[in-house]
Amino acid sequence: MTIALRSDDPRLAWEWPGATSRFLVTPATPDVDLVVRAVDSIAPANGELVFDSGAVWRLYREGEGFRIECHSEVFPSNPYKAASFDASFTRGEILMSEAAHHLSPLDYPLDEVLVSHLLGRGRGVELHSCGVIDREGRGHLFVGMSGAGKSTTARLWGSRAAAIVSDDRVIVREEDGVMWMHGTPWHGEAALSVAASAPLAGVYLLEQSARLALRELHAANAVARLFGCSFPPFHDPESVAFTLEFLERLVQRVSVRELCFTRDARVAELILAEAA
Amino acid sequence: MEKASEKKKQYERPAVKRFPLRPEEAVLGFCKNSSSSGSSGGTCRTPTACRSIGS
Repeated sequence: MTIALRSDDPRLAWEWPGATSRFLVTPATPDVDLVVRAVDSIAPANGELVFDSGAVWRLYREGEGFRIECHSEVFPSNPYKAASFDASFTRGEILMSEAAHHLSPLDYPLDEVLVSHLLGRGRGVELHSCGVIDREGRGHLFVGMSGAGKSTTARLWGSRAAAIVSDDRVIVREEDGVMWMHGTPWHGEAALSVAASAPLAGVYLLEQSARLALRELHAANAVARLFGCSFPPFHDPESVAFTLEFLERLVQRVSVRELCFTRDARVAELILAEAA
Repeated sequence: MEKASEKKKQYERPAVKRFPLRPEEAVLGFCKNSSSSGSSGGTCRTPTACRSIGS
C-alpha cells in the first residue's frame, strides 16, 4: 500500500522521521494520492461530526467524503492540520496551518487514522503486536496491549530474528489465501521497525505469567481477543464487520494460541520449535 | 459405522465472556512519547515525537 504526498509550496519543508524514512519508496502509481497545502489557518469543519477520538483527532462528514481534523495543545490554534478525503480515502488534500508548516503532513495521528480507514475497507487489519521474521523467513506475531511484553519479546529474540517488522504495530493482509504480516513505521519502546513482510506461521496472544508455556484457544476466544488488539474505525459498521470476518479467517488459517509469557530468552526457541 | 449420537458435539451452554478493550488505545485517541510506557492521556505535548503510541 503506497501513499503519495504532492506539494509545490515552498513554505512546507518537512523532514521524514527516521522510522518513516525507512518506508519511503520510489514514486510510482500510488494507492492513495494526496495534495498538501500550506495555509495561514484552518476554518472549523461545518459537516456532521462522525467520530471524536476524545483527544487528538476528529472525523467529520464532508459532502460525499470525509474530513479528519488533528488537534494538539501545543498549537495556539486548532485544528493545526486537516485532511479532506473522498469516500474511499484514496484521494484528498491535507491543509497544514502556519504553526505546523514544519511538520510532516502524515505525522501521527493522521497516518494511522488514514491507514485504519483504508484497511477497514477490505484490505486487512492492523494489530497491536510485535512481528518477528525468523531466519527461515517465517513470520511470528506477538499480540498484546500496552505493557503486555511486545518490545521485551522483540529484544529476547536477539540474533534468532532476521528482522523485527515492528515492536508495536503490524498490519496483516491476505494475499492468495495466505496471511502475510507487514511492517509499519509505528514502533514501540524498542524502537524497532522495518519495511519487510513475511507469511504468518503463528500468532501468539501475550499473557504475562510466571512460566513460559503455550495454551490452545477456542476460535471464538481467539477472534475476540485479537479484535481487542485491533484498530478498525469503530464508527463504521462495515469496517467493523470486515475486521471480525478477517480475524475469523486468520484464526482458521494460522495457528493462534496464548503465549504464557515471562522474561525468558527461551521464548524464541519455543516458537521456532513449534514452527518447525 | 459411527452412530449418529457419537458424532454429536457435547452441548455447551452459551455464556457471555468479557474481553479487554482499551478505548483510548483502540481509537488512536491518545499518544505517548517514546520514553514513557502506557498512554499519556489527552495532554499530548510532543506531536512530532508521537511515533510510538500505546506500545
